[in-house]
Amino acid sequence: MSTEVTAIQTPTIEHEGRKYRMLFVRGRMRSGTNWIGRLLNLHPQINCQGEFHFEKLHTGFENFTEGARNGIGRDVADAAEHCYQSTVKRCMSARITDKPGATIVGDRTAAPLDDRFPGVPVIHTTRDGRDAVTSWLLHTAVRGVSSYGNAGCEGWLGAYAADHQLFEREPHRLVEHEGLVRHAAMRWNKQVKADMDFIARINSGEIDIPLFAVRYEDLHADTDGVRRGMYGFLGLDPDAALPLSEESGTLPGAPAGLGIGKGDVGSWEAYFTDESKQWFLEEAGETLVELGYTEDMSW
Amino acid sequence: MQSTTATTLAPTIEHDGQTHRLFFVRGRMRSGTNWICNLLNLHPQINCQGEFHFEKLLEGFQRFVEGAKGGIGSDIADAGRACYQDAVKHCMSVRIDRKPGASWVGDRSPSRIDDWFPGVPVIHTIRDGRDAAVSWALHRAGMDRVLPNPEQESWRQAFITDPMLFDREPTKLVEHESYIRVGIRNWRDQVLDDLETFKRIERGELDIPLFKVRYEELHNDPEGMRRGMYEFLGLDPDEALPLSPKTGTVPGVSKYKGNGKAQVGSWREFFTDEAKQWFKEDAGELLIELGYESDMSW
Repeated sequence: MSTEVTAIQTPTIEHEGRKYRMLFVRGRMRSGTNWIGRLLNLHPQINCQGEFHFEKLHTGFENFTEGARNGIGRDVADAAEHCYQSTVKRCMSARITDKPGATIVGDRTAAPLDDRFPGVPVIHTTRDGRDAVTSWLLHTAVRGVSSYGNAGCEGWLGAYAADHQLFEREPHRLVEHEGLVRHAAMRWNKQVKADMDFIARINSGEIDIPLFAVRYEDLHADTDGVRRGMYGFLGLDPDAALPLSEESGTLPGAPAGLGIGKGDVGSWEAYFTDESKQWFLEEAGETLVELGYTEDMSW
Repeated sequence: MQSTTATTLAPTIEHDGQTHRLFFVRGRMRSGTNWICNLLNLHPQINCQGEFHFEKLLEGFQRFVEGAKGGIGSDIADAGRACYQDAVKHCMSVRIDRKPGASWVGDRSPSRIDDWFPGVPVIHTIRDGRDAAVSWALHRAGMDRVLPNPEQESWRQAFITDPMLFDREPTKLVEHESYIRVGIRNWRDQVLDDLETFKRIERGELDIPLFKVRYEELHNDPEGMRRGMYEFLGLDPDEALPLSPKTGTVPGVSKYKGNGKAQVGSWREFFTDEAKQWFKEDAGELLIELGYESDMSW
């Protein structure tokens, strides 16, 4: 983990006469954003409720402002910029009453970093892409829906639907679909690389975003230490937080959604074949090296 | 023309202590939205400045709200919907100062009628799709935008080099089947969507005060039509300035690089038998439904 900037002064939401600071949890899906959300919620001052997915809104605003700059005028584009921020604030304020005593309200969407809201602190998580892919494949099988397109992996989805013990009995079947594995690895690679570039811009001072960077593996190894760091990053007293517990889903290895207990470190080794390793290497091997998860491409 | 509801209770924007009501001009591009806007602006109470293209913003809000409904919760979806309306109001408010005395502020984007802003009156125009396709092709040929297909791009370059090309050889305008079919299909899809919205309004499912304009009627009787539009907005038609070439409000003045194509029936100069066939295949039935033709034998 690393703390780039400690955030004290951040944009606020005004709600019923009180001010609330904002917080975003970001990172690639299946990389611990939910777990971080739950850890943060152990603190009485933090209210981090759900995935807002403002990136969907963001695309619309981007297209609109770009069109306005080239068309009706920059004044309208600037007005829209303001509206994006007010929309985010208004949507997040709708959840303030879920935990009214908190002073920080957060969004834990597993989305790329963006510069649409300067000043709002971000807790960002990165996970070994092989584990993230493994977790994503399990998640996809359970949900029965894939961003890859169900038509392309109907047989694979059907096999799991007919036998929910399939991947426990024959782990390699999880990573047998080349298109799916490559799709997941490619998307992990794309987002993680984009976020790495973004973090470099923050570190160079180009972007004003207070950032706390988390490695999923560090969080697993020292959950208490990392969460204390997160609370401290937000200017809060770590001792005010509740302890980790099974009930709150905050212990390492707790089921990561949909009841699948794959929040482990290195669980990919139980599934990956030489063939699927090769697919991952081709799609994202260099990023794995760059992040320090492997020394080279010979794993 | 046809109006379903005259309105005085449209959603408003508060700006510098004054209240301004909103309206939209809608319809397929090259169907007279700019002309209608120019006509509306002749009235001292109407301020219709440019194309905001809120449909781009709406696309993001629709995805966000759909996601929220299936995810974080319908309370966030409701907040998102309200924020879309606020965003539209805020963006439109920045143009109020250009005509501060006007009580109506409008947007004339040539897009579909959307149901995300109930209560806002809409003036909607439909034009014969053949004329719209001709006008669209001329417009695109003159735009500073490279066409993706090399053959079509060389067609565009030929026009840029020789702006009289389509005057001399009109059929060249519609010679590229794949290209002209895009214009035809886009017209068809948008008009069909809007006709569906008309039905929802008529059934009472949508609260959108609507004034329908046919481009051809506007051409024949701009005075009568514009009076209808002013009255639809609850305004006195006699307060409006007269039509003039200077304000771009006289029929047929919207010329394109010297080609006067703001006409009714100008498609006849350009369409070959082949192009007619393409149009019939893609949108012939809609032309009949709209009453522009009685059958497919044209």
